Amino acid sequence: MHGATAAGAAFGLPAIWVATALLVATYAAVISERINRAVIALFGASLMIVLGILTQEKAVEGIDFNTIGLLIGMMVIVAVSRRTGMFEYLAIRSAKLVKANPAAIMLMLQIVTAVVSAFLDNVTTVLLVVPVTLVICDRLGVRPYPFLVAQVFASNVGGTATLIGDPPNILIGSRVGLSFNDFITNLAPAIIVIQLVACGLFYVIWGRRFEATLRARAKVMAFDERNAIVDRGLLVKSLIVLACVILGFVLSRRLNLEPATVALFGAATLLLLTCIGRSADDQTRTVSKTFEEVEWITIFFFIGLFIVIYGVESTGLLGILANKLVAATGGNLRVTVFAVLWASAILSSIVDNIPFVATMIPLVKDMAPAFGGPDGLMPVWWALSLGACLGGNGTIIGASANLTVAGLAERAGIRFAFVEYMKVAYPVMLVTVGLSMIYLELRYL
Amino acid sequence: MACQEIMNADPPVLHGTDTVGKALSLLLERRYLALPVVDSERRYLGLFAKSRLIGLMLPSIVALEDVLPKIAQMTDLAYLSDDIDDLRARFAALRDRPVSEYADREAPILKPDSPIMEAVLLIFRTRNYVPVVDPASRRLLGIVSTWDILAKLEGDK
Repeated sequence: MHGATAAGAAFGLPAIWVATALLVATYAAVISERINRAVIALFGASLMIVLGILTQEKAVEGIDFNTIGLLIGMMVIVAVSRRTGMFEYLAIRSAKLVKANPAAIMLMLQIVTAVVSAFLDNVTTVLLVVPVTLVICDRLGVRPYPFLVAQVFASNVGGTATLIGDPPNILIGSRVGLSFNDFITNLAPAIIVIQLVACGLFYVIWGRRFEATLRARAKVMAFDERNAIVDRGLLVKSLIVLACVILGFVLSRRLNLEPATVALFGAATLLLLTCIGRSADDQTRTVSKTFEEVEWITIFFFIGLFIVIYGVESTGLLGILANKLVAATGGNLRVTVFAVLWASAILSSIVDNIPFVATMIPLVKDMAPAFGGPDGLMPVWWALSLGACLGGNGTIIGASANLTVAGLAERAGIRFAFVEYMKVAYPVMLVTVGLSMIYLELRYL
Repeated sequence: MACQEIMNADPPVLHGTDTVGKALSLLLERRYLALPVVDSERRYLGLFAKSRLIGLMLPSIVALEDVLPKIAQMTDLAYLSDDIDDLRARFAALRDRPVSEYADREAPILKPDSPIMEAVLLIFRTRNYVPVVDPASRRLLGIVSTWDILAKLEGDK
């Protein structure tokens, strides 16, 4: 409970009912996708205040500025550094490393996507790597669809490995107080295995049947990746800042800095470096162009969602649900971990994992007494992260990266149908969650 | 003054079934920026602009950059090894396609009674020709171009 103004809820109804109705309505509206999700979240958040569940002051308290700051900071860093052409360079270099063999290119692009996604959010990663993938496939004369599906997977899998790779992890890390290193040491070993297995499965499903003519392969080998780098000065600055930011995340505990501070400090430093020596007008243009590339829809969606969930949390509903969940699993840690893993995976394959995880966090926190305090909950957090992040791979609507790639593909004239995607993706997703289950069992239970 | 008073009521047009090859010849011959595409009853189908032809020479994802999020737009294509023969080969594959497939249906249009300042603003923004279309019948009535407006300036002196 957070001491909100629950007693003042509208219409004389108990606050817990009003808050629950608002949460359900917000979820339903987000799932229906009829109205932009940021608008829905902000509308739900405003109603939480207007209907007296929260005061404005309490609502602001509910916003996790660590998550917001981390997202904005990383978005600014990407917006500046992508202009160097470094992501095109990476993709082309990796394609040429394997002599433009299509199956090997698919493997390399999955690895590049997974690694980039571990440090940038998934949607940003696919927006950076998919266009250049399409150009490579176009020149190779191979069907791009398998490459895109494999990259969707890699972005969701790779993002699970770190605190900053996927919004559910950012949320869990921030609200539970887990560090960058906690995520790397607990999740990265599982993710490396899962990604390699996924690469193998996609090779069996598609890769082994790829064919490209020698002439087409020569076309790709003739790409000059050095020409992809359009601003060497900015490249050096971006790489230095990126390296410092990642080092900052690793050392954040020791430096006593929150991840948001590290990311925003990095963003401010990179912007400072790009502004030095330029005219005032030029600076304004560059800075405003950079801020335009921040995904404000995601940011405002988070802000609204935090308030809606804080409202529900303040009425005690999530505590009641947590007790029911503990009772249902008989207080058994193994049953709870596996239930959270599979329920998160199945639910995240059909609904956005961000509101789901944001709701689960306070609920899981309330389960701590049943498992001997916060430390006893650690396997549950890893199960929540693995389930929510990997489950998103199951369907086109399971994660934002999937929808983004499907949208890009459709615009480029590549069919990306719901059922066709699910036929391949759902079984592969179940394999990845099964591997997570084995990992959790072997390491924590 | 309304658009119908300054428009060119007899502009060259492309028919929906005309090929991309014919469109290129006509654009090159007359040095037009764009041509309106109509069906057999002169109903307006869209605008075929020379910039569209150039866009067709690019990998499809790059040509879509107007509708892509900024972050997905390529910084440069200098790394591609294509030469003029590749561009010719790509054009050869499109030469016999009907122009109706590539006509821009979203390009702004004017009504015959649209005020002249609306035309001036649209031409300034699109740097292009703007078709004048009858809203009821969808028939192409004419086209307003930079030249039509500039000629009016001279004529009014």
